[in-house]
Parts: sequence; C-alpha cells; structure tokens
Amino acid sequence: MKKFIIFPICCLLFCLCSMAQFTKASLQATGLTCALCSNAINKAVSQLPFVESVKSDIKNSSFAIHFKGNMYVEFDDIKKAVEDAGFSVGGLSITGRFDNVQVEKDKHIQIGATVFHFLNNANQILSGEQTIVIVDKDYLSAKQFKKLTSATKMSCVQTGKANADCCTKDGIKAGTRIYHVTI
Amino acid sequence: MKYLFFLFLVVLATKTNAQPKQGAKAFEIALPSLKGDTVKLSTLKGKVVLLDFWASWCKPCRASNKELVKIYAKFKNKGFEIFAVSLDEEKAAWKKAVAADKITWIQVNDMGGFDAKIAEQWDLFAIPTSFLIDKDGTLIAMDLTGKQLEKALKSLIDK
Repeated sequence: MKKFIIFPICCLLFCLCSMAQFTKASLQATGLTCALCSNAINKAVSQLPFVESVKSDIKNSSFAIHFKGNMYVEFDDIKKAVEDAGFSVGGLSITGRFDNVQVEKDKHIQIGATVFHFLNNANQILSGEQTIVIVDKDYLSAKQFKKLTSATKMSCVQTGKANADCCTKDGIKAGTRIYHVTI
Repeated sequence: MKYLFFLFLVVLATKTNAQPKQGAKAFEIALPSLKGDTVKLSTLKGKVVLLDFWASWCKPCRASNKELVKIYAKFKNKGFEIFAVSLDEEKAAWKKAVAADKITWIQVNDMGGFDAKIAEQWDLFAIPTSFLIDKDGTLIAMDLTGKQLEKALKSLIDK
C-alpha cells in the first residue's frame, strides 16, 4: 500500500522540479585558443622596435624573443602587443647579462633605465647571464598574482608604480614604473 | 589614362590583400613529402581537394585530423583528396604526428612555421586553416568544420 502512495508523490515532486526552465548559462573554458597556432602574437611582437626576432618555442609552448643590442627594452610594450593581438601574458622571464649586481629583498635596483623591485629572494650578487621573472599584474595568471600579492603588504606590487607609501625610497619619484621581479 | 590609373589601383589593392578568396584559383604548391619527393597541388586537378594547413604542435589541428580520417575514408574513392601542408620545423615531430593520427592522405611540409614561404603566400593568420578546392582548382570554401565539409562533399561528389 505504501508503495502506491510514495510513487504518486515522487511523480508529483519530479513534475514540480522539472517545471524550471533554464534560460542562460555562462561557461568558462580553458584551452580555447592555441597561442602558438596564431600568427598574430608573432607578428605583433616582432613589430616592436627593440625586437630582433620572435621564434615559436614549441617544446615550451612559448615564444622566444630576441632583443636588439643597445636598445631600450620596454617590457610593458610586449605585454601590450600580446594583449592587442587578443591574448594575455601567462609569464614573461627575461634574461640578461648582470655585472655584479647586488640584489636584496624589497630593494630597488636600476638596471639601464629600468627600475626593478626584487621580491621574495635571498640577498645575493647577480653576475653573468641570469633570468628573472616579471610578476607584475597581467604578467602571470590571476591566481598566481593573487598568491604572490597576498605575501606582501606593499601597494606598489598591485599598481606597478611607485607611490607615496611604497617604492619611493631610494630616491625614486612617485609614479615611476617599477617592474616587480623574482629570480 | 585615368582608367589606367584606376586599374592600377585596383590591382594594387588586390595584391596587398593576399589571402586567396572564394572563387580565386589556388596557387600552385610544390613541396616535399615525408619520403622527400616533391608533390604538386596542381596534379590533383579533376578531384575535389581539401588543402589543410596544420602542425603537430597545434592541438586544434590534431583534433581536426581525427575527424578528417573518417571523412577521408568515406570519400577518398569518390574523387576526394586531402593535401595537407605541415608547418612543423622538425621533421621527426611531423612524422610522428602523421603516424599517430593514422594519416594516409598527401602530406607535405614547409619548415619554418609561420615564417615559411607558404605561410606568407597564403597569408596564414592561424592554423588550422583549410581551403576546399573544386575539380577545376577554384577555391570554394574556407575553414569548414567536419560536418560542413561532409555536407559540401556530398553535394559536390555524390550529387
């Protein structure tokens, strides 16, 4: 007897539930675009005045960018070129020759015309060929950036610029672009 | 004289806009196959041809290969051929992908990725890029999905 009661109730519940009509959904998917499959990044970056060549580095799914010698390199212009091509930067490591550069955690160092702020690294002297990673906003994934910024209280890490309470020591003017990097 | 100048402008305009459009004749392609012998696109006249630009590192291209295998099996004996141009820079990677995807259609390669001459000539913006070419060598469609390609082949070949 019980069965005969439960069954119609289940039916009724089911009918009530299935009345809902879905009208919209928002789907976020990754891996939609194959960056290496697009010639757009390649073309956009190779048109920068300080870029000598851009090669697809298939093994690392990245682009190997070679700079012209004796030319000022503006990393933000690379980011802009990538974004203008419809993509975003997932990581940018830069390699250069260092001549006994003393780096300390949260200390500013001017290399050429660019000011770097070294985050989270032990005090050391850089010499010879070294690679550093830019960790400013939109230079890595949002998740990685969040993780990194939660480890520091300095507001300039968020903005990438020197402001009154942050990054202005060492005689740096407020508003100066500062690249935050790690080794 | 004015007309001549106008004509010159038109020619210039069409020249700068290099990517072949529907109704245009396919450029000749002559590139080496896996075995090393040169294969020409023009020898396929009389067949419906899918010209497919791809590379082993291009995941969407590999996904499309899977579908092409099925379509090729259905239509290859009815006057359909696939002429695939790989932009791989490493012959070994190309060879491996051809074997892994069980590709039996024509495969040629122009090393140099997007810097390859062929990529410039066809003004490739991204891969995969494909063109459907009719029996007379005229481009009739571009970037068809598997289903669209099958539909087009049915109307072109089965009639």
